[in-house]
Amino acid sequence: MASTASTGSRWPSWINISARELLLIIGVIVITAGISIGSHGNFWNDSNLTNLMINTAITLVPAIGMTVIILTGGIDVSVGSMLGLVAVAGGTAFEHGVGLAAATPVFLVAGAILGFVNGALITYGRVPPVIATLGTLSVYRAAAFIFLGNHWITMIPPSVTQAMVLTQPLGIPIAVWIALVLIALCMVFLARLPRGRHIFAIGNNENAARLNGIPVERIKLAAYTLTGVLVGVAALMSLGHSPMVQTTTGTGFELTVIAAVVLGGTELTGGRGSLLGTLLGAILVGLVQNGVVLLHIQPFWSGVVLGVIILVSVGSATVRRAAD
Amino acid sequence: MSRFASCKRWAVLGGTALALTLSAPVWAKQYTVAFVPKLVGIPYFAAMKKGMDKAGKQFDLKVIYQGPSSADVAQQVNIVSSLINQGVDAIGVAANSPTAFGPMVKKARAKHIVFYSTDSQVEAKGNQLRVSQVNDKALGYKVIDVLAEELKASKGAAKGKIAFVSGGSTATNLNTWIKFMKQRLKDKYPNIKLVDVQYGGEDVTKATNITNQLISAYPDLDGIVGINTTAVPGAAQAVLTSGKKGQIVVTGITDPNTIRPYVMNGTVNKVVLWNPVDLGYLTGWGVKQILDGKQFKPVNEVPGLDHKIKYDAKTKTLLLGPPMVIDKSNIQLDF
Repeated sequence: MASTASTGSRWPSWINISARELLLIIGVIVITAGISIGSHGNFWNDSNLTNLMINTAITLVPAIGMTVIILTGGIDVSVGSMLGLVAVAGGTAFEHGVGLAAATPVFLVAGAILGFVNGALITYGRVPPVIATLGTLSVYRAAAFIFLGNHWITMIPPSVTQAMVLTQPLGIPIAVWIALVLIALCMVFLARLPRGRHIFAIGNNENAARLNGIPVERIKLAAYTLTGVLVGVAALMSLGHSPMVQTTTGTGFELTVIAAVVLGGTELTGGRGSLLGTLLGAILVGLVQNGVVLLHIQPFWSGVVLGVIILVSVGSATVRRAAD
Repeated sequence: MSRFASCKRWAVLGGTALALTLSAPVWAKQYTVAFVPKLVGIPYFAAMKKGMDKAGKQFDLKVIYQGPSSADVAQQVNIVSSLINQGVDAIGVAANSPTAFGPMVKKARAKHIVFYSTDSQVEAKGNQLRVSQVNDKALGYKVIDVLAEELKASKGAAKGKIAFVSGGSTATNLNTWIKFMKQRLKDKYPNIKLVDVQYGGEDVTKATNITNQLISAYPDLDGIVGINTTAVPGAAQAVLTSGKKGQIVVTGITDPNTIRPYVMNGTVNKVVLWNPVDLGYLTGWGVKQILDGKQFKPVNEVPGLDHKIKYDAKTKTLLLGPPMVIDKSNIQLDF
């Protein structure tokens, strides 16, 4: 079950702040302050904040689905290739002159299909999640290569950037609003609805859940399909952010998404974790990636810093548990 | 067994032999030329292939195009090795490493297969032909000259703060160009100050992010030079979304297909490149000359190219020519 004790009754029950999340909040504040000072305040430039928010949103949206999958005790390592292949499908639609409104379903449906294939392999094909999605990671990437050939899609209409990045109600880009709405909905779903609780139950003890009449296979299949749809949303946001599709688009993205979830305290063994943690994890990942150039260091250092943060935070949690 | 069976067998054998004899002269005349690019799946090498295919048609060559899916030396060596075993007439690479192909050159020459390099050269004794797109120095200088021109047009003088966004931090060609760009800045434009060099790999999203951060880190930035194909559109996108269009000059080395949207919307005015289709065509022509046993002259007339091609006998290098500036007037070129 949700591992956390509520810190007070002032919050609605679907917001449940644990000690770990408090630590993450402190981490976010400290890193923000550090970058802010190190960059002589340039961190707070309008365009930098937009960039940070967009990147965080692109990570966060698939991370919502990934959290649900990991809560059920599974994992999806194919999201990077999925993002690439969905971008190829959607980008091809754009190339054929389809507008933003008509192309959006292409992104969502393509994502749903790819996620469904993952889910079907895992539930009905009985392939372990890491193996199944490792397979599709490679198949989806190959499909993008085959489909795109030697061509990059550069004719993404400016309306995508306009809609996702440049339209900013209350100073916040639409892509970020979408991410916020999605995560709020899913938080309510996980905490309040029976189906949400079933997800935790599956991750804690799948057999017990099945004996209790919970439709384990159907829920898992839905979780992978949902992640596919969310990857579709992220692909559209990402084309707004950098409007070009390469054969390599999305390579390595799965690691960013999984890092955000793990950093947020969701445990790979399933059954424990929270979306609030994932939100904070995604922000932290975004900050670390954002900070490097502002601090005049080379981007590969963000990989080092991120790795160390993950090792320290997850490692300390394990040590703490062992001590209990 | 029917008594016709053996007749039939002989008839088939005879027919096959006859067919082989008849086709043999045709086979002997058409050379098979293999080209192994750094990687497949990118438009640049597809454009080179287009040029090689054109040369293939013109000079009766069978062109094989095969390469690794990422710019990986080991994979590339494997492909070259298996093509040599298949027995082609000539094999060449756009090398992922200048030094890794020594054994392959030896192996090819031992089998009397012509070895050449194009785009990115192989430093090995037996390499029979190098086809170079452009003089590195001329390219580096040209990019900085274009930048200075643009700064002058938008700020009134060739001065200001600029940053470079490059691809891989170890890529030999990119680093060579950066070296010459720095040299040109120092020699001719002392008032243009290079404040940062960042690397985004062959990934337009990374280039976009890095440029966004550069723009924030240096609020008074005047120009950005993208060193590789993905850096320029990434930089242009970042300039566009941060509302700095017109304030920050974006230029660099990239192809028309990739940069077209930004040239059309005015974020970018000029970029510099060479014509990769012509490069592939010239490579095909050069290889054909060697296969035919012809010698290169110091200056060569190449049918199908509108300018003369220089050959340096000491380094065995054919040079395509001066860099080409791409702007609104020729942005419709397809490569």
